[in-house]
Amino acid sequence: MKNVVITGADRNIGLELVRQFLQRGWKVFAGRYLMDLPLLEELQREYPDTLTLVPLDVSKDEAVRAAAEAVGKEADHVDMLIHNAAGFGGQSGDGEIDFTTFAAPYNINALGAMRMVHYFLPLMQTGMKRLCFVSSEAGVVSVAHRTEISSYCMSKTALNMALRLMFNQLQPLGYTFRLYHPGWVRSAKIEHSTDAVPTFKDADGNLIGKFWPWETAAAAVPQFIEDREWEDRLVLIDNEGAAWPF
Amino acid sequence: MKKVVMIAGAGDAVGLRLVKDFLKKDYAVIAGLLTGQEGVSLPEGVLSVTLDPLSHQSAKDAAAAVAEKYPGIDMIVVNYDNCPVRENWTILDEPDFEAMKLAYEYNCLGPLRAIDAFRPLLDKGEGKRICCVTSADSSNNAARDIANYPSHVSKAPLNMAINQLFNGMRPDGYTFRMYCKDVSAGPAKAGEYAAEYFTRNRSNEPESYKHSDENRLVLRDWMNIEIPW
Repeated sequence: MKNVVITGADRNIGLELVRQFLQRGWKVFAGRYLMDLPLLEELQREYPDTLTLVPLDVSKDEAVRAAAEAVGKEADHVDMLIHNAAGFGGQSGDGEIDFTTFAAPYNINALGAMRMVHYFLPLMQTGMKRLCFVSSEAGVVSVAHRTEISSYCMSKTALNMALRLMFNQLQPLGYTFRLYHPGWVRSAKIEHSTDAVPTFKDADGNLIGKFWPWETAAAAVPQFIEDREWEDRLVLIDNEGAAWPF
Repeated sequence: MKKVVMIAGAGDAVGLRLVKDFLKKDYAVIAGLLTGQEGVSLPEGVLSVTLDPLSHQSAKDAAAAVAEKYPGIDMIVVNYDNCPVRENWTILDEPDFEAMKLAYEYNCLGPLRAIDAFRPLLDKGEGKRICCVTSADSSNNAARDIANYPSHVSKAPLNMAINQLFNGMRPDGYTFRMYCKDVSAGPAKAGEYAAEYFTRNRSNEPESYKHSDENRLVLRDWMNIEIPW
């Protein structure tokens, strides 16, 4: 049985990735950040033998190190790593720019990916050796179209750069990479067990986004699992199969 | 009346080179020095202000000090780089995440803080030009490295932010320059061609008439070679 570690698994794309890997018979280590949210526990009741919940805050070195140790006690190796956790921060255009909000997305989205690779790589010396990352077209500088300075976009650009450097070193060592743009996904803003049933609508009742989380997860899983003949290239591919520039 | 340029990060070798080169071009020069650089020797007639790349408030205070002498400025040049020495660790070694956080605050958010603080003065000036000194380390497409993470990963997101600024401000008449200094040339020569590039009109040059550099944002090095994003 193959296994996978997934960050940001509490809800939305991460939760759907967990569900779909379980449905395919994989052993899943789900990185749990929102400890008060019961959605992963509900899923665990369905898959008690193949789903393990791991406390995981990718913004902290020690937390990632501890998560790798915890996974290492249950598995002799990890086949696949999926860094899906994402943080958001401020942007210009909403009055005065608050630059103090710009640090968190960089720390979670870019440095979080580096922490995951660094601390989990000792467990990935054998097996599939596949490193997967949920990025975004929002981080693509050459097609940047937004007119506000966005800390989220900037963090995804930083992530793409960190992946370049990691790819340059690790691909010749036999590791394979997946860089995935999930499309414009409808995301539920649910954080606590006491929250109402998750809604995908904003305060005005509008449905924001184009794809459901389970749709983009369904597009991602085959990309992550299947081998390619061109593993020597780092390519950002979206949920519809289109390649993006950097 | 002289054009006015604000140079944030004027106290290092590249910055001092910029100060001298802009004076030769008959600009009125304001030198933005980092805390601790107050003793740097500047040419006569250069107004100096202190600003900290890590503090938005210090950039605003510097702008307020400049506003007492100049009602507007024509150009801002930001020259911040806290990664002058290559970091050779890779993802297989022990990454220095604290150094990476500091590099982002300094190299990426530092320029944005300065540009934001001086925007009101730029709005009142006629030149309306925003310039950054960066390096080819910032290019996602050209990255062939396996190390030097703090420099690469802190400078790439600045490229994104300046692209977004360009999208928002170009319609208001602003023009932009992103200049890759020659890090291999040594400190004294790394900024040799920067002032020339920053002051040149790129709107109708023979090599760029098909894709005017003023209506798209480009990253160019000291040899005027375009670096992909």
